[in-house]
Amino acid sequence: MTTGAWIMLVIGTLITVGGLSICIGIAFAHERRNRAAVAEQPAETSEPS
Amino acid sequence: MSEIRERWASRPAFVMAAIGSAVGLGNLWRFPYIAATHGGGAFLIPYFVAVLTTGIPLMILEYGLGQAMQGSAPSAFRRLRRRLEWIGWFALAISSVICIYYAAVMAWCWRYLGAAVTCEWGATTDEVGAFFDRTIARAGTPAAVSNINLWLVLGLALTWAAIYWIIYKGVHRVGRIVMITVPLPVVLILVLLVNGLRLDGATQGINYYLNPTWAKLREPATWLAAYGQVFFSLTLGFGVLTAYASYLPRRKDVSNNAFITSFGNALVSFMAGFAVFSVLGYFALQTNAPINEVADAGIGLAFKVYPQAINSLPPVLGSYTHHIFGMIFFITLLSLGIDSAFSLVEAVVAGVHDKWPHVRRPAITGLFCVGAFLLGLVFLTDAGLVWLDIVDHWSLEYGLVFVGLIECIAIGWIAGIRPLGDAINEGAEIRVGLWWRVCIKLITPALLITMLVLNLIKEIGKPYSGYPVWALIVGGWFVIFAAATIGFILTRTTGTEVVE
Repeated sequence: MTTGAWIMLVIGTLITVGGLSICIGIAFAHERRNRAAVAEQPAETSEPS
Repeated sequence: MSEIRERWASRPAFVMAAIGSAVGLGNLWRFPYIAATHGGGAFLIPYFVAVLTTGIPLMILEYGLGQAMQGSAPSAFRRLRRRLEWIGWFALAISSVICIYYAAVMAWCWRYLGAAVTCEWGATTDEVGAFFDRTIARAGTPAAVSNINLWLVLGLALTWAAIYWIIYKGVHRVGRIVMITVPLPVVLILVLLVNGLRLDGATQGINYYLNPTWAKLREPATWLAAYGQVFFSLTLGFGVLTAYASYLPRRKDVSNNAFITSFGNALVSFMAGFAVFSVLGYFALQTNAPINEVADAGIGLAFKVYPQAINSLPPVLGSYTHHIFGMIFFITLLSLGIDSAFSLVEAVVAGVHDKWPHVRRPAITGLFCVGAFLLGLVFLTDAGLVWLDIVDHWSLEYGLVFVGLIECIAIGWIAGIRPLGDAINEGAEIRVGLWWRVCIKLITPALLITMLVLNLIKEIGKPYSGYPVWALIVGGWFVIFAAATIGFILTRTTGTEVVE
């Protein structure tokens, strides 16, 4: 394969796989944060007033 | 009485359905060829620029509209502004036309899948060409609307039966089906890719696909091809994304989902290029032909060149090699096509059900599937390929581009883009701001207008593909006019939806 084809192969893979991985990572991080926030909520509301 | 809106079972179900809708036949048979002929690897630059400046912004807009308004395209536009409802119906009318001929293409895939079992298409190039002429190309004149092929009718019936079964119960079943129909073609493309990379000549094929020709970046045609590919590939302007997002609750992310859908779609396209060009490189070597002569796109690639290439494969799996790879290839096409096809029908069914909620979903779905099956028979006649080519050209190049343009104008300049942006940001994992507003208000409309004007100029200069003018008027302009008229009539018709 030519050097140019190799470079574009690496760039294409980095953008598609990398982009997808980053976005899925962001989604997982948000899901985890949301779940943690939901888990904390009953503890706060159950405190005696 | 206000019915509670159905919901996706989970976020992955929605994302997979959206990816399934975006990833279709074009990823395998259009992207690799467009990339190879517009600068090879250099094409990736305009392609990703187009993804970021048109694909993702417009996808966020359509998702956001459906989610914020909790309605399919016509319903969402109606809730935004009463007189904008027409845009939604026009989009759905164009989608209906597209899914009618898309199902016909799937009928051809069924026929070729059957042919792959016995390699019925023959062993030599001439035999494959003759089988293609007998099955698909046939008379090649628009007046020959006769002689329906019964095998293709069976394929068409199978396609519509599958679509009906998948969507008549609602998006819960869609969410389960896409867990199979989205990964399946990806796995099959990987099988084709791994096999292709082992072949002699694969390197030349991949060089043709990826070797960058930087000078092509100076040509406007390259950039327009990239924007066209992104626009048509991401199911923008069909009303599908709006319908799918309407089953998401409010204050849930749509912007990151748009990024995931777009990158997923780009990854499948990029990967498919290797599966296609490794085999074409091998085929070129076997036939002593330059790769640019054997490379083709669309129907020519799938039903002529690829079967020939499959015929030339070395017998890695014994005497059944050609049969097995033939079946893998056409199952890949069918699994790529089915989720795009049912997403188009879902958009229409959701639109009708939102306006007339008292009519049951199975009845709407059944009526649409039977009607579309009957109308689709015209594409299985001797003149089928000609009419399909004309209707496809007008629906995509004018119908969809026009829908995308008026969507941008309606949201960006008439209804106001900031309230929608705020609604999207309520649950956003990636916030939309100035870049999104600039893309929707300026960049995307400018590009879509350019595409429309250039296509019109080309049309005036020379009739499309040399077809008779009467055929272009009937299959092209009349179809667009009919879609617009249906849009107006449905907008003026009073529905039974309860306005909250």
